[in-house]
Amino acid sequence: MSSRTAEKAKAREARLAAEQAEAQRATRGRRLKLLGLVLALAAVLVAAGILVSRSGSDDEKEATAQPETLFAGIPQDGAWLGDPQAPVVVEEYADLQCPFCARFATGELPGIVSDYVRPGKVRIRLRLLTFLGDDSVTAGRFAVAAGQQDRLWPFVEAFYAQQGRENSGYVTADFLRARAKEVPDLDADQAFTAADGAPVTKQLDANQQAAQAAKVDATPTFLVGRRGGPLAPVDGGDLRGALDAALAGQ
Amino acid sequence: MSDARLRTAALVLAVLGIGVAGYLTYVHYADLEPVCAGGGHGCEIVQASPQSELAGIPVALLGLLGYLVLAGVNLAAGEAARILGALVALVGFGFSVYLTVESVTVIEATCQWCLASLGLMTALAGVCVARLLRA
Repeated sequence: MSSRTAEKAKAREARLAAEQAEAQRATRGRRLKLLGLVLALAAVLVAAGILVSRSGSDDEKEATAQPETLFAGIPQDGAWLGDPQAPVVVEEYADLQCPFCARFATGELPGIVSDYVRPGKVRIRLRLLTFLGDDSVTAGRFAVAAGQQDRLWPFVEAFYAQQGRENSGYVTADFLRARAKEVPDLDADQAFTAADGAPVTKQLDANQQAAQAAKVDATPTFLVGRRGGPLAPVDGGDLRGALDAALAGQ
Repeated sequence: MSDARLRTAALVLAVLGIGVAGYLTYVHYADLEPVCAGGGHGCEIVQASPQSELAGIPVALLGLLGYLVLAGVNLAAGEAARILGALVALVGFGFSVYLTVESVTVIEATCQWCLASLGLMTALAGVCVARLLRA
């Protein structure tokens, strides 16, 4: 009788252990399924984040790729952009660290180029200043050196598209080299060598003197006039109006 | 390791993450230069890059929100909190890996704060997944 009871108890224990093991297996399986679902959802969210991030980067790349299209086929000579015989001349005073200069370059300039410069009506000269700080000096020297290869304008556009925080030290050799890479036919090594040279210093000094003579106290500042004649500052930032007036011979 | 220890570990990691992401968010909005050990400019370059924002929102702020959520869910009890914790940590880990690859291959600069955050997110993903499996 007692052995029968013991057998029954043993069988019950075995059954309970089996049930417990089965429950544990089921729980483990459920947890692994849950982890699989969480991993899948996480992968979808990360992929979506990467897509959003890349679309933003692509916009930047388009902005930096734009200069070649923007200036393609337009004569470039040092700091000058446009036909030397254009009846109207513009001088732009800018600092590469100036956010308003970057805004003009990426906003209004493309329209000015397509409507006035490309048709040969207007020729623009970029006079770079370096008053905002050390990053302006580093960037300005390299840009003027790029101008010695007649690649100033596309380099400046590429620079503006990636303009960083003012005087944060972002204008490093690596940064400049990366921007130079975006400009076809710009020899970065040659520009680095030239950037330390006396001709670049002379050009920047000349820009500074011209700015003082024209009483330029902010950037960007535009002076407009007929070719060979005196240039006058643009009132109220209406560059198109000033260009139209100059073209009309007023 | 017991769930209580995993939970404590997750909380410590999340608090450290709040410190790192909070600092990067602060320097972003205060327009300051992040302190970079060794005097390099990698942090400024990365912070000024297009990848530092996602749909116009600073990635540092998104990271801060992620760490705050991770701290919250590891304080809370229940399965839903553990699932959310694992999900947020895995998303944070995946996106941190992507940003690190971008910073090395595209931006060509590394930010020590971002690398620290990658380390914290990696550890958090491990701890939160372990919590999900052990519960």
